[in-house]
Amino acid sequence: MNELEVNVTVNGRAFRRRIEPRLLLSDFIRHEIGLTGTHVGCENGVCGACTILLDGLATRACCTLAVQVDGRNIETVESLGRLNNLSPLQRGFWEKHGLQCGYCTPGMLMLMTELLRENPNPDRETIRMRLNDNICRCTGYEDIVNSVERAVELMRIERAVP
Amino acid sequence: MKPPVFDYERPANLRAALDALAKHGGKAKLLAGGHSLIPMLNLRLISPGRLIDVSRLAELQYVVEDFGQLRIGALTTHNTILRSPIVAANCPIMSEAYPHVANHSIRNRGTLGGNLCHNDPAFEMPLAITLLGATMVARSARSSRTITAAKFFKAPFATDLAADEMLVEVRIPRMPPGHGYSFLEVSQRYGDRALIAAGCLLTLRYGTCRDIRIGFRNSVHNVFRIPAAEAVLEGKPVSAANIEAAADAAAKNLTAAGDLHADEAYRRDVTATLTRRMLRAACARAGHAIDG
Amino acid sequence: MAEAGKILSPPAGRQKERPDQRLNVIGTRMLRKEDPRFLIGRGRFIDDVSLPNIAHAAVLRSPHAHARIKSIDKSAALALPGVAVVITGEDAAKDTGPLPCFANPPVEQRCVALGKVRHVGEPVVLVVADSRYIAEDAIGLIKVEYEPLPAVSDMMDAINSRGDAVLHPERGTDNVAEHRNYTFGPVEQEFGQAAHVVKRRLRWARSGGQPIETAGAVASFDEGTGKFTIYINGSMYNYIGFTIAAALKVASHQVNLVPMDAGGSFGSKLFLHKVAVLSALGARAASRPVKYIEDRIDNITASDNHGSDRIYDVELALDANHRMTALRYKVVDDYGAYFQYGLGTHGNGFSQTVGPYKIRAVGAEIYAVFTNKCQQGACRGFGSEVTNFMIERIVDAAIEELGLDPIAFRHDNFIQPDEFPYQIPTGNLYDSGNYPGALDMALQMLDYDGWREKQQLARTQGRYVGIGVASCQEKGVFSATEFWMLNRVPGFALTSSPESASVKIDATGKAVISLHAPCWGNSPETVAAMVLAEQLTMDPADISVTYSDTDHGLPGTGPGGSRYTVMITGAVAGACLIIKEKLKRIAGHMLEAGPHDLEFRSGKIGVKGVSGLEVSIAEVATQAHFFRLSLPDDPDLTSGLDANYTYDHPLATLPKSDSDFGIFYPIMGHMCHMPVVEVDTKTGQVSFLDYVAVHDCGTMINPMTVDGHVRGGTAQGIGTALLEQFEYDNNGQPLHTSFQDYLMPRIGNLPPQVRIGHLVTPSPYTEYGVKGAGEGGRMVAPPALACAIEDALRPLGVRIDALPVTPTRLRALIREAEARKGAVR
Repeated sequence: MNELEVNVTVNGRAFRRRIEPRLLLSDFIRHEIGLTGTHVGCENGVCGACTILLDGLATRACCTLAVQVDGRNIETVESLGRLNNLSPLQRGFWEKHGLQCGYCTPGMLMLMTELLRENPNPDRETIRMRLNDNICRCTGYEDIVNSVERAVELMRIERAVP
Repeated sequence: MKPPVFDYERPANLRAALDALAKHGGKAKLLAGGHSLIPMLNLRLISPGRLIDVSRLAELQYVVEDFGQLRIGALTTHNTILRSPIVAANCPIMSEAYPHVANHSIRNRGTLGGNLCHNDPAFEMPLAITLLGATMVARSARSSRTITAAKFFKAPFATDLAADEMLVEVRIPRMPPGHGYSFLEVSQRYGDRALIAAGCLLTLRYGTCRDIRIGFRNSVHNVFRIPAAEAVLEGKPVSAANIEAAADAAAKNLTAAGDLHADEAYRRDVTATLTRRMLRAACARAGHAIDG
Repeated sequence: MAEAGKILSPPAGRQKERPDQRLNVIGTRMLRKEDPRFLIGRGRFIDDVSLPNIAHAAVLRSPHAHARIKSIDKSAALALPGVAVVITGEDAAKDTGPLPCFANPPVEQRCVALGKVRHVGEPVVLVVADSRYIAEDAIGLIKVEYEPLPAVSDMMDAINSRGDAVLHPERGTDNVAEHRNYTFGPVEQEFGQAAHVVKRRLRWARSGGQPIETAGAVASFDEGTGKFTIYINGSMYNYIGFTIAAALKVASHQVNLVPMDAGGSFGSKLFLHKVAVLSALGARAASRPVKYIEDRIDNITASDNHGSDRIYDVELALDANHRMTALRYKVVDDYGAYFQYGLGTHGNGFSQTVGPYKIRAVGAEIYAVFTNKCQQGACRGFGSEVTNFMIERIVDAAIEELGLDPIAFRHDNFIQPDEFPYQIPTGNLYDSGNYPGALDMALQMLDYDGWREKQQLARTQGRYVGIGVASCQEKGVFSATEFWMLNRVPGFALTSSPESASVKIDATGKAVISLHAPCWGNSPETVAAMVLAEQLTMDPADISVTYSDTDHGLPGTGPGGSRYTVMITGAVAGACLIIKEKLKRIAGHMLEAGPHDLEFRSGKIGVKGVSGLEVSIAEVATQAHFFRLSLPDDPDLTSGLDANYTYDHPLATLPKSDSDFGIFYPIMGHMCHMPVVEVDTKTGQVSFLDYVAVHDCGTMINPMTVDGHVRGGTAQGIGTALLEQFEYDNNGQPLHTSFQDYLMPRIGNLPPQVRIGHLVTPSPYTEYGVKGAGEGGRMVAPPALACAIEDALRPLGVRIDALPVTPTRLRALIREAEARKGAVR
């Protein structure tokens, strides 16, 4: 078996693993690193459920080889918040019913994390256009848009309070 | 849906990449953004023995303007080009086409070179750069050559590149200020494979059309420019009537076929409609709106 | 024969919790209990399960639609390092039986094809290896020799198949799985007397739920005890799970099925017999735990859960006053290669086969045919969404042909609010409703008259704007009896479809509810916690919800048929009744008051009218758990504080005959959708200008989650109407095999806003008057859209009789219509 060493930072922690070049980043994150929050929907690059941030850019982990991220920085949904310390984006989704089955949610959260870093104050149309990247089968998307708008509001409140 | 076994190398620079290509030739595939290649590997449609990962070759990631042309490094990502003010200023048809290319997340990783070399007949960029009269620069370990766009895109999923050649740069002549352009696409979902993609470029001198280019992609054939449609307008004053005639000519002369998502009649039909719409838009941009 | 009309002596029912009481928790938009774990990426999905020494399975999918399996050479695959076992159909048949089938006579389906393959994608070999990657490598090394047989792909051809084209020769000499005629009421007579008869041929294409998470299972086999443990993202394990044990040829108590969170289902995870048996069979053979997760191609081509695939010839009879009197249809339904639920998807339609209208008679001729395609299963609506499409399309046809007003016609034909409970010709009952009210609410919310004006203006500008109207039923809470009359010979003639809840309150006063069916994203934890919080005035934060496996499970039929919220509510309320009684008894003892003088208030039990004279639930719980000798000296009073309750169907009666099914689906919700669309006639694309959705699902436990279902269901309905289809070519090759080709709506395909209105007609039969709400959007959006598109194109005379209305098809209809107009001129 032809294995290569990869060194990758995931959610701020450094990892080193020996893996086959063909191992998909989605499988690497889920099974090598053990972070199962990133989900697999199609392995075809269409649904976006596997979206993570690679050096801050929204990326489909099922269309990326783990060896390609050697020396790089990955952020997954697990980096956003914890049970007793949800991020504003996570709180926005909770308050505005932005999820039902929860399977596409990590991908949505990472996609929106990138957007909100680019633009902390996107209008509704901008949010909608970006959300076109990912498929949700449960919500019909409207509550996801509302969730992101609520997150923007929460972030604004957070910034205003010293 | 997991890829088959392959060897992998990541050359540190272009020289090393070209040497690797020379060595492994037809048994290796170049890996750039990977968002066309890896889905194909997942489906086991192909089984290359080796992947040569060129995605990090910074020397091929640039958008520069010099001496009347734009030069774009083949490994520049789509979003970089989409956001480029140089591109917007000099060949805005690319900026107009870009939001239709896949989606934002895929554009973060996908590269112009990867897109052009894959030449999926539903892809927009091969059309845009053909209309722009671009030239490709290809290099191998031994040599370098330029290839016109018309020659580069040989057939669906095939280009003129030899097994040991790599596309390194796309050169696009600057479009004159005040030129007319339009890029339109019809698909079932925004960002999907185009059912029909249409583009046109023209300049107007006192209402007369010069250097008009009209072209399409229809996700089945390797279509590009339609000379019969261009001939209707070239050197003539633009009017509703000859836009109509150009639309008819485009629909008639297009090489089209049906596939799973649209039949042939639809493609011809929509080609005519998009021709009308894009010519009107292009003329308006060139300062000459069409009545009627 | 069941006569249509208001039931003069309605059944009394067993409702204990009245809808009109003052409620504190129920009816609020409480944030969901499910969300935190999903938001932080800690959902418990099947692929998250990891066991020591776990192996991974993949299946070799048949490339042929129909073929005999002549030989399988697995030697190269077995020699590949990392491969544990390679199992053919013959290997599997040694210790595994056929998969469960609820048609009678049953149709044999094997988890690994035995002797012959009947659709592309059917498993031919199961490979178990150290990784899915290696398993797929091994599959590439297996040589299968097939003898192709004639493939049948066209459902009309299937009726006349003969010889080698017959998929199940043991059943008969053709591919007709079932051919039944049903007569409900005086059909012939009504058509004989009709002043007008309107006819249409309609086509509903096959689509499917296609949740983002596929189906999967992880099985382990304990060689010490001979017992299987199977983790699964399916449902019905505490209802018919024993049939999986039967397929594995072990006793039912030798299989423990353990539920996982499901990443969506929409019916497709109703009963995952195949993946359960595949993983278990692999584990037994490999002596290691085995994980089998469908990849997307497995799921598209072999999910066993495609939706209805029908051609209808439907006729509607009307009297001289334009009242609909009878409906008659012949339908051919392409069930694919197997028949797991028999004609269930037609029985579902019988529950609401007259829609919201006073139609007196219904005649149905049903052909179910076998073709070489993935079999049908459950898809949101379970066939009744197609019935709704049929009804509203023929209603629209009558409106058009007779030159009537779509609103007035519906008002004139609706069952009126004072006519409930209403019996329909099939014997089913509609419990309550206000169909004119829903229609009027939608008209008002939409500003229907305003849009008609805008439409007029748009027409003068050469724009094609259309307003759709659809008034449809959403049945909720099926009874198992609906399946009785669908088989030639009654088979699995069940009468139970219960739901259980187990509630326990620990010594510190915190509650744990165990549910006996899974979470599909339809908020069961939130519902259960809200009902308990309401009943006991507890803080929902003091309640957690968990899911029982089959070892610990009570009867639980699970989500499906828009029943889950109603049934969980009944089950939790039932358990609460028992616990409240005990709490009051002990509290009364502690407070020296009679139980009937006590009330629950803010987590305490106190004497009515005497504030301060109270004890907390926690204090009572501590007593209950630890201080038996301080409790009343009654041998029936035991330590502890818990209750199990099994809530049976609130209103079901025995079927009488095949023209009277009895009451089998009475909890009847209703929707009125009004989309406003614009058609680009040159490209056949449809865009949304507005969308109003009025839903009546009775009392809403949580309006926020109801709205979520309305929007999500409507989105799926829009997908069904405009985008989604599974097509097969003449050789039975599926043409849509990935998400590249099977197109589900993205945000750009949907209205920017679905404006929701709620009309509430509580059920007299369920606890708190709750009705189902899960399927509704998908059950009304397709006819609403078909109507809107037709309305937009009325100047051209385009009819929408087939779904999906893709751009290429719509453009073809427009071209034909323009040519007709040109020809006429």
